[in-house]
Amino acid sequence: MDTAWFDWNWPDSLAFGWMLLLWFVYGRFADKLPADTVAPTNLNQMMHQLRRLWMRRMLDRPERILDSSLTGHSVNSTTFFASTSMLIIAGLLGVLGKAADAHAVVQSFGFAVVATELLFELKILGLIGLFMVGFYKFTWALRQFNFACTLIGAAPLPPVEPEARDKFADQAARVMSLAVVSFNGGIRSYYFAMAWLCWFIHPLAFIVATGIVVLVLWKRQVNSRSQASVAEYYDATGG
Amino acid sequence: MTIVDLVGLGLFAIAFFGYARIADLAGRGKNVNSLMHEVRRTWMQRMMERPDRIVDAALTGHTVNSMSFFSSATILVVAGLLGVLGQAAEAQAVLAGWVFVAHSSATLFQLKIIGLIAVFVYGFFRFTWALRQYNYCCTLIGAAPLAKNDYPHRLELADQMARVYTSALTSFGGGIRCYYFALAWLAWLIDPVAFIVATIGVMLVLLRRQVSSHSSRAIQRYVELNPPEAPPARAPHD
Repeated sequence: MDTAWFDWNWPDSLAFGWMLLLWFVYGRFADKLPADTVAPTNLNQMMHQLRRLWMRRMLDRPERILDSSLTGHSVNSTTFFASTSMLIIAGLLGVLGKAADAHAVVQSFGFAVVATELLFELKILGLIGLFMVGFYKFTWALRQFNFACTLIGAAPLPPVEPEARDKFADQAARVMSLAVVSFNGGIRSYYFAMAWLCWFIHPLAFIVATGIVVLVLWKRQVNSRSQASVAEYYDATGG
Repeated sequence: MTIVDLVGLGLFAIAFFGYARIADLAGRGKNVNSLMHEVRRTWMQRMMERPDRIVDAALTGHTVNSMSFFSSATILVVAGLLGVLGQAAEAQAVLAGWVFVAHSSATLFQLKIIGLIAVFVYGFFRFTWALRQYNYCCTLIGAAPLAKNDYPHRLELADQMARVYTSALTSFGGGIRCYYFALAWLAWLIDPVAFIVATIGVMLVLLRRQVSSHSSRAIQRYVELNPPEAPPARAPHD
């Protein structure tokens, strides 16, 4: 076994840098909310436009139970994920407490890369860090969904003047889309955590897994069945 | 790894990744999944006619809840399996104590656990994507024109909404299938022959549900009695 106290090698730097780069670049692609007049280029942006339309319909409706229950569904899943993140962090802290045993087991794998215990613990800490990012994103998404609930509750009753209706609907839709952006960011940290697991086996496996994760996410945004149907729905509503 | 292990693994890969295609062939377009797409088209057309769409929001919400539940359960299962991997030697000793368990090397045992983790990670991706698509459906329902509007593209909108629902439920079904196939994979820990039998068994149960269960026959009759207006522009998965 390697006796160096810390055996971080260049493939580890490469893999870690690759993950940070892809996370940043994909975030720029998926989370960007352009001005409302700009035509959408991916699924998330199309959904933002449809939320603007939704908020206009909401203002036209005298009775808004529909809108409150639809918002409620997102609130429920966000709460659920926030609580799961905490459970996972607690579990990972348990692993950190028994890091010596876990490290010995991973070292005994015929196929895993040799690493010192310190590096092993740092990888676990990094994993905890990823889920903490997720927790922050989910709780912030939850807060923003709660803001959206208040905005719907405070919305003027019909008939609303057309100009005021558009202004209000655009702002409410933006708050809701920002909440969804945070929620997506939380889920994304889970996805990257799944790729991170491969680092325990080999840095190259980590590089490949990160690439696959981003490819899957990107394909969903630009070329999935849902994206195609949402695009046709968006076109049918007149853009 | 013996030849029987390899046969089991190959069969598993075919069943796991080819299931959707096999179900289509077996059902000749009349399996539950394609029938349910027709029901969803009818549902969305009704939704557009209703002035008050609380029922549609509530029905959508039930599915959203089970999807969040499964996403979270899946990630907890992955965490538990990582724990098993951390204690692989003890776990294998327990299994080796059972007389009916086939011998396998420590490395093969660890690889089997890693394979199981991979199946659940795949399931996690399916469930979360299903959840995202259901959240899209919520927005699509919210943005749908009001019933009293004289809007020309009603049927087309209903069709597209039904397609997003169906795509979401295809992802959800794919996630649940990971659980079924993970159970077959567990049989591999006992014996490769058991693995082959369990994989075929899971496949047969799932196919029977799709094409010749009581539910599938009743749904088929329902679609005949209560069909959606106008044929779809295209098949659901072209």
